[in-house]
Amino acid sequence: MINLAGLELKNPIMTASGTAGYGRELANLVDLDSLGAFVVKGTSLEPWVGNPPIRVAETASGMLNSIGLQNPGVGHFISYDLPFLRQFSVPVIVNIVGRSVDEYALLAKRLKDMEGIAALEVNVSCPNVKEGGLSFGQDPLLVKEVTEAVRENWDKPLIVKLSPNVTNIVEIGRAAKEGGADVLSLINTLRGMAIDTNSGRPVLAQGIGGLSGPAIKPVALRMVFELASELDIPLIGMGGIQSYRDVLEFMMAGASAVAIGTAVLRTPGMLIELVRELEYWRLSNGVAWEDIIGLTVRGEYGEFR
Amino acid sequence: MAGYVEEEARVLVNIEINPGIYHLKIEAKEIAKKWQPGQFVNLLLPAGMDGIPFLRRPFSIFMASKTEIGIVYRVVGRGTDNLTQLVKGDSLNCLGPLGVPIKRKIEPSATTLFVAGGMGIASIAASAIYSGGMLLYGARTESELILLPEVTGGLAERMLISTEDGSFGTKGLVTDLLPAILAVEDYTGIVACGPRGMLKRVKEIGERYNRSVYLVIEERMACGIGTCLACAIKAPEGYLRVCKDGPIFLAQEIVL
Ligand SMILES: Cc1cc2nc3c(=O)[nH]c(=O)nc-3n(C[C@H](O)[C@H](O)[C@H](O)COP(=O)(O)OP(=O)(O)OC[C@H]3O[C@@H](n4cnc5c(N)ncnc54)[C@H](O)[C@@H]3O)c2cc1C
Ligand SMILES: Cc1cc2nc3c(=O)[nH]c(=O)nc-3n(C[C@H](O)[C@H](O)[C@H](O)COP(=O)(O)O)c2cc1C
Ligand code: FES
Repeated sequence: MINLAGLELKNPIMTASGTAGYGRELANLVDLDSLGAFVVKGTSLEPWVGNPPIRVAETASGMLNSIGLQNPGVGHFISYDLPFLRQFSVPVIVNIVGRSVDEYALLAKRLKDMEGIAALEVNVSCPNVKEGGLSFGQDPLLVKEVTEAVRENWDKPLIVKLSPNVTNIVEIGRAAKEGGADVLSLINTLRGMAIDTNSGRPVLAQGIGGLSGPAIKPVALRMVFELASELDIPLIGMGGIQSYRDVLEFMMAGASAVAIGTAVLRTPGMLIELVRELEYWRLSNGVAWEDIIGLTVRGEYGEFR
Repeated sequence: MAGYVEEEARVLVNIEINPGIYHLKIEAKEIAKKWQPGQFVNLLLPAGMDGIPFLRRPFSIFMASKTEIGIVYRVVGRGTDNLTQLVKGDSLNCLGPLGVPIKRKIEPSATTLFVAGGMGIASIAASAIYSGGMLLYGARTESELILLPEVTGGLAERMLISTEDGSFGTKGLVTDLLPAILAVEDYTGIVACGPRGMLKRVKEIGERYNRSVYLVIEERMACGIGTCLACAIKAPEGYLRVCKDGPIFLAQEIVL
């Protein structure tokens, strides 16, 4: 068992928001109950239409996306998806996204008394309409404000998901913690772009998108390490994880659990393999996760097989 | 129950049948068993040092036997180029069968008219063969026509071919054949697959003659199962997913 501020996971493997939908399609391929937690797609107060295609582009060892947080809204989630997810015993984490502080607060209020939600994950990598489109996640004051607004309306574990598009991730993480976050998750996608050299036009219709996949792993790992070094708060690491060795890196850097996004789009079955391989590694090395989590930060290097 | 699986399949045949066009046969027992005409498979292709192709690539299954599936593909980029390197015995990770079968939208029959442009033939050949309906099949030039017995074999007298350069069949666009046929024959439904421009013309002409038009759409994909929303196509309200809500749509369901 891994305990994240009261959120109990039977293993460290979670899905990453936006890459596993609301579970229906993935459930055909993967036993959701064998996961540590299931994180749903970013969900807003009203339905969001999303961006025009082309929405994805490939890059060296990664991909860019500009889905635009298309989702059917929290009402649809409550009436259609949550009942489906309640059939499973896996802890369900709802990723919420808003365009104003009020929207975040209202989302938390709507979800508060719903059965079958283990935690909220607050996605702050979204333009703040009121502040001229600057992302909430790039301003420590706004991160704190959003976190407080959700905290006031939510008693269960509260995760704040950080944007990597900042100069000082520790400052942002501290703001979320001060606002009442129980757990931090990171990283969301890095802003990037690709150009079609046959025309000079950006590949994505929106021009700029979010980079994910193995290409971002070293950046994600560094940020987890920095937060684990500076702040006392449980972390969920993600960004480019493809193998159980990648998971171990994140855990050694200080993550108590990890989320898998892009890799699930390529090979959904790897989720189950990761769970199995990690457990095998842990048992064959005779260690407990508490010993592994953050060992690089503590400098307690070992000899593992 | 959407019965799709991730299956480690084995390459049986991978040969160039026309310049730049290949016929791939793979042993994929589960997928072959579940496939229905119109469905596709999302393939994890061999990647280069930079990891490209990173995402899977979707291909129509044009036929399936008990244990095998058949694909015809055209080399257009890094993924399809790498695919040509696979030889008999190599393994290939397949996710499928995916997408809505054609017959869930329209029961193909002798009153169904099929229209294929270029590689679009792969998505509709099987339905055209089973249906007893007629196929209009166009390509730029003779060497781009796929006339494999497995693909168009059952269609001999029920197929009209056109090429843009006149090297085979009627000279011109495949859609040029449509008005004359619709004017005299009572095909009630049209199923078309091909480039966007062609699909637009089919929709226009079909609607002018008051026929139900169904379009099989291709869009860039990532997951192929409906979770990531990469493969969006504009609908009158918002977007639909080509991989999960399609790839076949009633023409009015989407905005081309
Ligand atoms: C449901 C479905 C069924 C398909 N069936 C077949 C088939 O039976 N046979 C076949 O040869 N091809 C088929 N395709 C197209 C095939 O998926 C692409 O040709 C392939 O992904 C190209 O990969 P690549 O790495 O070689 O090219 P890339 O390097 O990815 O792309 C090369 C060029 O093709 C364009 N392109 C790539 N993917 C698409 C797309 N989906 N739609 C439009 N343009 C694209 C790119 O913009 C680029 O200009 C199908 C696509 C879909 C969505
Ligand atoms: C297609 C796609 C959609 C995503 N949608 C969301 C989302 O709705 N909410 C969110 O917080 N993160 C979203 N993300 C970010 C992922 O959850 C994750 O933080 C990021 O992709 C890094 O992990 P990875 O490299 O394992 O994919 C999305 C990522 C991708 C690729
Ligand atoms: S490709 Fe992911 S939803 Fe269609």
